[in-house]
Amino acid sequence: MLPYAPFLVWLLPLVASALMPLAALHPKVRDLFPVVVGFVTAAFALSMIPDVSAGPPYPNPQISWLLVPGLIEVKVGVLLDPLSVFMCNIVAGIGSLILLYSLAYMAGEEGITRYWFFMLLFIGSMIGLVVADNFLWLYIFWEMVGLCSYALIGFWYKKPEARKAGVKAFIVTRIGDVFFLAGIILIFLNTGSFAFSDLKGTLEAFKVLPCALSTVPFLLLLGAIGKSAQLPLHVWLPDAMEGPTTVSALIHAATMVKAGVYLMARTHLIYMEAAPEAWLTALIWVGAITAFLTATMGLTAVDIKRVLAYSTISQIGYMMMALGLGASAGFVFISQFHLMSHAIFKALLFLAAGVIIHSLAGLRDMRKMGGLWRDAPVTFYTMVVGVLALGGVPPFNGFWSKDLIFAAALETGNYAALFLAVVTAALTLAYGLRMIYLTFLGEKRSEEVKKMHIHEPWVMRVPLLILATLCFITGFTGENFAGFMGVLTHNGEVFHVEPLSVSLSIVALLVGGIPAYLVYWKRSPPPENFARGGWGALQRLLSEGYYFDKFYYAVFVDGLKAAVQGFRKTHPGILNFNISLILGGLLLLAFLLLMLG
Amino acid sequence: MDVASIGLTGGMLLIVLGLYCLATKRNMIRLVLAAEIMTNGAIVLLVTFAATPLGMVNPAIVAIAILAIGIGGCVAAIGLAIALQAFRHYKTLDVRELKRLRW
Repeated sequence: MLPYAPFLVWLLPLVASALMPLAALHPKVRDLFPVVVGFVTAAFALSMIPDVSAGPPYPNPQISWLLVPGLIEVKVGVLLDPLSVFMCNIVAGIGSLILLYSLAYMAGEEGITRYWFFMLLFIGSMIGLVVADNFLWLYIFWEMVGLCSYALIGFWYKKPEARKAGVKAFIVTRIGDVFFLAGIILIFLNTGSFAFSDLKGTLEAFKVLPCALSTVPFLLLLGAIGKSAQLPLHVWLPDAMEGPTTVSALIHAATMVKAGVYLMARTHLIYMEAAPEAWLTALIWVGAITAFLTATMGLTAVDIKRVLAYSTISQIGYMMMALGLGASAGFVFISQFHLMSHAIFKALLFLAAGVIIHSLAGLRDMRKMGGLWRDAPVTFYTMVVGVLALGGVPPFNGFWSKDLIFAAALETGNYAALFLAVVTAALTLAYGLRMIYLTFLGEKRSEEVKKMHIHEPWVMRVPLLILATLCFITGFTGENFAGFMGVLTHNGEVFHVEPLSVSLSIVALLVGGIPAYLVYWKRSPPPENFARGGWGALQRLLSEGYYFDKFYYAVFVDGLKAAVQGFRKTHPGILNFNISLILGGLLLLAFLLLMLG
Repeated sequence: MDVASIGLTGGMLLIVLGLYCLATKRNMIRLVLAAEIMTNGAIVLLVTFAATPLGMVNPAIVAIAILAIGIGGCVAAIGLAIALQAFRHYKTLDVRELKRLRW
């Protein structure tokens, strides 16, 4: 471990973000400084791996904080265990590549200092979130992550959609956060401490779980649903595509949405055997249903970034499901393994999409693209790798991690969830291939795209190539990864590939891949056929996202507005009238007090 | 009648007087005066409650009362300033004109 790495790894980006106004005095320094900070942070994160791979006890340096003698003493510190160090490396590693890519993507943007500031703050607070050893810090960093995502989604604040998307992300995740906060308060009331270790100790000391502590995981799950954009709070993530593509890459691959999965994994590690059965079932079904529904939405999206957004929600659903399934066999590592695969291929996909969007001056509608593969060969080939990894085609990493999820579902005998997972895998490959075809193959379908010149500078190519290579490599590291996480899969056996789950994966690939190939490559039947009749109705339903958004707007936005307007009629704005009503109310209150008191 | 009940009754009367004035008058200057009367009623109540049975007065409360008087003066100044600006704008002191400020 490099000296003070557990603290420096998150303090460094946070302090660097505060120094951004100083660095901005010189344009060269302004752009290079955050990238250097990103890579130094990644080096710190990497250096912590050897310290935890040896197994427990894990380093847990603590300091006293919020000290009121004799009343409150909150001990805070950082907890280094395989889970937190792994998340650190994902955030810092992917984050630094995205920062490097931003050099080209954000060059010449207005407000670039603000961009670097929030990116560094984002990375710093996400690392702080995963290394915190208590719920209080976890919550503070959790909110900081939410703030940064709000500011970055609305980075182009002159665009009204971007502003709205930022506010929507902030408000929708806030709904989950309220429940999360309630859960933390319940923990404090029942254990008198925020620390994970104290909660774990309390759980082990009780023979029968106190009622309050068994409701806590559900409250935390609601927080995770908001943050990780699971159904029914998934509506903010597709809209969040209004931000710069690098921001989307960071939110999807490394920070923000992964925070919910991390929280669930952490809760799982704390509760272990004490975890309520219903909570695990809830995790499985929230994950499975989200994965399936959002994959169907991804089939009809025409905005290249929205396709990727739906696929993120769907893959996060897989992770949630894996957490719920793995519980009985100690499978936390499966969801983390899929998280690693997803972080790599999703960063790759977003950055590759970013090259196209950047060159086409912000055009994101895939119907207008096509035939771009000659202009951007590196982007094309790396994006194909990304889509194959996302779809779960061997030998890319998505195949191995998805396969483990199927195996876990088989093993626990949860065939309904397994069915949804396999169908989702088929849909995933189908919309991935559709995206590749519409973007890169066929004819250029609009005049504006024909006129544009695509350029992919090396600063963009290098992160793409690194991530594509990682897509190849990390799939084969399952065994080492299981060993690193300190988890034996079951019966003392380490990581193994089941023939049945592999054949299920292959079936899913064929079921998803062949129709996509026929419809888009062979055009038999051509995709236009699906816009009519019964298919057309289905397509409208899917592209409206099952009317979730419309429903929320009608009830919570317009409904609330109407209710407020109704109350407004009782406010005539005439002072005498208002005061008379106050007097009347006071008299009534006094009368009631006299009568009843 | 002892001092305490005189204080309480007087304070209550001042508040009710202010409220009555606020509820019936339309001249903005009168309304500012009414608000001041209510403030003073509240201060009288505060000082009355500060008195202990032994005839002592809690000095901290008196300090707060003096502070409240000062703040009441500021409020009156701002209220009169608003009334003055409203008069310049609407050429009348009728408070109903301010209804337009409601959004």
